[in-house]
Amino acid sequence: MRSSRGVSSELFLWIFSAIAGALLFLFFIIWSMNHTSTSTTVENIEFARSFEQQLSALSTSNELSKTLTFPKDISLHIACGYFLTGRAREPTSLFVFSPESIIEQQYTLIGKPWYFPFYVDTFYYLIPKQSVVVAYYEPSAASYATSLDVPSTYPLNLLPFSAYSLTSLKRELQGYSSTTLVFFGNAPEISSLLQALRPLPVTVLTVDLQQSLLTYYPEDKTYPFFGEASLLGAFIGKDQYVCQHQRSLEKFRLLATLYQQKTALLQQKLGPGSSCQQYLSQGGSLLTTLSAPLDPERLRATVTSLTAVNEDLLRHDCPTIY
Amino acid sequence: MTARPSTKAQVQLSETFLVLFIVIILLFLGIFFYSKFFIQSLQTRANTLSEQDSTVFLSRVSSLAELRCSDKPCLDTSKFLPFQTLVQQRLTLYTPIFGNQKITVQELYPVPSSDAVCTKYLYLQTSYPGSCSQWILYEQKPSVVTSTQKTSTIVSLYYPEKDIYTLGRLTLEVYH
Repeated sequence: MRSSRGVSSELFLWIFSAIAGALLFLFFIIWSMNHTSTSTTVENIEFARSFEQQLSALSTSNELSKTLTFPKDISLHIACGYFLTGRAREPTSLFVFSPESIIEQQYTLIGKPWYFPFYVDTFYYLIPKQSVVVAYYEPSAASYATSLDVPSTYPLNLLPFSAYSLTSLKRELQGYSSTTLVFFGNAPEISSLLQALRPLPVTVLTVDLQQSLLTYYPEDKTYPFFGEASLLGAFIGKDQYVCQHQRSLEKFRLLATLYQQKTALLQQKLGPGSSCQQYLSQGGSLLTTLSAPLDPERLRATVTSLTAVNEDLLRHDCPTIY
Repeated sequence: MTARPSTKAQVQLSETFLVLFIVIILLFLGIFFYSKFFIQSLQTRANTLSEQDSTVFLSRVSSLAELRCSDKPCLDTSKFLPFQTLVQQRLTLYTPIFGNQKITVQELYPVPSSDAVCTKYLYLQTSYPGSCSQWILYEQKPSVVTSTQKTSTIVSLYYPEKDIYTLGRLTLEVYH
């Protein structure tokens, strides 16, 4: 017969082992979870930073494109001024136009410099391989649309409006995972067009070249655009357009301040007797105007005047503003 | 009669404690060494990333709209002094982009007659661009610097005042 003391000590042994084992088990589970989380975060940060590096490398040349294949296990969200992965949030000063979420497929990355009228920055377009932009132009917009300086890898299909028919459009859009329909000038009735193209994911926008405005449908929201690079960004980055447009204008104003200071220095350097003074003075005051927020109409007019002043400087063998 | 203590149970209990203690020590040693190697590998990855960053950043600086010529692959020297002013005015904007580093440009060819750092005073001299040959475009130094990583590239420098091009070196010193 076992003594009562022996039974209780054996029981204690079991209880102690169970508690100690459970605590150890819990510790290792928590440790391994933290370790996995740290590793994932590190991978995510590495991914976001290498993605930004790939974009930055493209900014050194004027127009380049490359194909990017995104890994299956990481999804990237391109927000305004940020690259977000599951566990990392990397700030970026780059202007990227793309679908909001980048997941597991091949993308074409294109860089195009934005001049307004001086070089402001490079705009990046990240376009899914299975997407297309079909643009129809009216006769009045033909010269603008056909002379667009579109990078060769940008999937733009330009057609005259006379070639528009719902049947041929449906046939053309088959096989694409996302589509943007652009109408330079008047568009057909949008709600029935969207209805007819359902369930295809289609973004429709119209471009008013007279006022340099673009309108997204079915939201019916209108925004200004400044130049081709901005327009090409609007075609593929509906979600980012408003924000990137604002950020790019902020950068533009910052550069206008810099050019204004450069002009003032050039004026001091050349001295009051220089024949270049009057053009530089004009340029300086235009740049002062441009360094503050302006309505689109006044902004365009001032930029046109600045271009003229810069050309005058060039014609008179003076140092140019930009 | 007094009950004798069960020595067998006591020995068993001590054995269990000992085994458990040794197992825990071994496990913790394992975790300690694993974590040490893991942190080391993280540091190596961070250094590699930082090296890649500075190389890419160097090419990015040379293509910054604030510094480059508008339509040619060169740096516009007449933007350097306004850029210094702009950075001082907009520190909150530029510090997160540039971080702790020093960005300098030095003229190399033709061999400059002066090694002076360009200021507004030297810029306005009639002898300019001969009056100076270096620009400190940006500098943000942390209070404690453990190491410095230096990368540089050759750039073309444009002087719009004289409409001439020279050869220079753009240097990036990253403070760690």
